[in-house]
Amino acid sequence: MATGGARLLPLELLDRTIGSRVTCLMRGEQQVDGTLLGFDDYCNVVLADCVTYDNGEETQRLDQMLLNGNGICAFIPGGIPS
Amino acid sequence: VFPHSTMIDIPVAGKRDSTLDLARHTDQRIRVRFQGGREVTGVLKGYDPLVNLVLDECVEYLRDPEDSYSLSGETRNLGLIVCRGTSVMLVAPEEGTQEIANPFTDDADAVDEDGDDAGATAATE
Repeated sequence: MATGGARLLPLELLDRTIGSRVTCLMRGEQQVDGTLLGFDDYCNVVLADCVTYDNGEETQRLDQMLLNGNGICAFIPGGIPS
Repeated sequence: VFPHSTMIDIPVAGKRDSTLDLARHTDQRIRVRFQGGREVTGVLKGYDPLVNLVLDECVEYLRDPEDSYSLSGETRNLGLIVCRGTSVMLVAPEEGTQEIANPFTDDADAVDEDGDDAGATAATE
């Protein structure tokens, strides 16, 4: 199967997001916004200046967090467009 | 040599081959469902062998707050997103899919508009 070649590799796009805001959509109704500091092979993610949401309501603000990649469904580079 | 099964002549996916050919869906709108119930559609812009995806012009279909299994009909725009392959449960092209009446309701006498008898077929399967 083609690896993507001239097309956009997903983890490449994620790599380009390092330093920018990102929204992480989790399984279930949770969401985490933060500045992406880095990620690993499992898409565990380090975020700064984070805000977590549950069902649209803000639940926590944290300076830094290590978010377990296991529960992540999707990343939105730049955050959710308003 | 492309692996074939020994009993019947059908191709069998090898260890490194994917059973899903995403190349033919690039630049087309696809529906993606995730573990946990999230559902989106977006234009496929990129992928990798682990089924991580890049979707553009992505729209999320929101669920009913009371019943997390049914869609509320509301949507929100997500723009360009990266989908985690480990959470992807379903990938399907939007082109060629159509919504049909629910074949599982008690409405046994419901009229089938295109005469496909899709409802009856599903019920007897």
